[in-house]
Amino acid sequence: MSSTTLVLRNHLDDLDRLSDWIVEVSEQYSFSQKLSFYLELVIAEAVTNIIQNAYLDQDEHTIPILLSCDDHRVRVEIKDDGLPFDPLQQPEVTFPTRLEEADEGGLGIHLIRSYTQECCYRRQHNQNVLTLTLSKEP
Amino acid sequence: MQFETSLLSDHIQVVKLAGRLDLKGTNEINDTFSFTVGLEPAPTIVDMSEVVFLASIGIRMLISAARAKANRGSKMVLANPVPLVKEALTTAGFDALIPTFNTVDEAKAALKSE
Repeated sequence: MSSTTLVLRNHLDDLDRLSDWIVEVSEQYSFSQKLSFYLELVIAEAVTNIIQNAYLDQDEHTIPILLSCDDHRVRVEIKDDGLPFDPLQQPEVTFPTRLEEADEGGLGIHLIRSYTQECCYRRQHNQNVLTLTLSKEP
Repeated sequence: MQFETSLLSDHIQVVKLAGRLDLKGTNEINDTFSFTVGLEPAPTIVDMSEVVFLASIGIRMLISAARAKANRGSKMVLANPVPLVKEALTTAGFDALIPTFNTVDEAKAALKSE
């Protein structure tokens, strides 16, 4: 299994680096356009949530993202040292039937759940560790 | 992220978006998009043909604009999203809330027939 790592800072501007990295990784591992889209979407959703909600201070924090893949699956491990938070404990969204009922809360987590084969969370060494697994051929 | 607006002779507004509706792209246009769409009493077609990426924040922008439009007694629809963007809308469950058409012409025909 080969792997590569990107370390982001807890600044929303750093998400530009995520996009560039996904392009590089996709070329390196010959990911399909679909897989690239899925990967960027789930990682961006997770990282955005971390940047916006994980920290009480104004300090700089790092968010390491480890991507590894084998013949069939891509695994992404996202770590942060913010407040303990298991995003998978958030309730599933209820699909609204009318525009007035549309509640956009929880949409990011819903997209992560929908686009991954598997997602799991653990708290380890004062860090949140979110592991996302995607099929190489979604 | 860019957008351009045109008002067709049959009083339908077409807003064409181009780029990425990720966090950065959405933040760049959110206020202007909401203002442009919300203030126009005519129905709005959002041409999504050149939107290459859509995250939850972009979906929220679209929903918010559609809701504001509906509150004013008008309507916003989407046209021609690329497959992966369309899939994101469907996965989010919002494809049922904002009518989506394959082309701008189909969207126009549907709005005119209402």
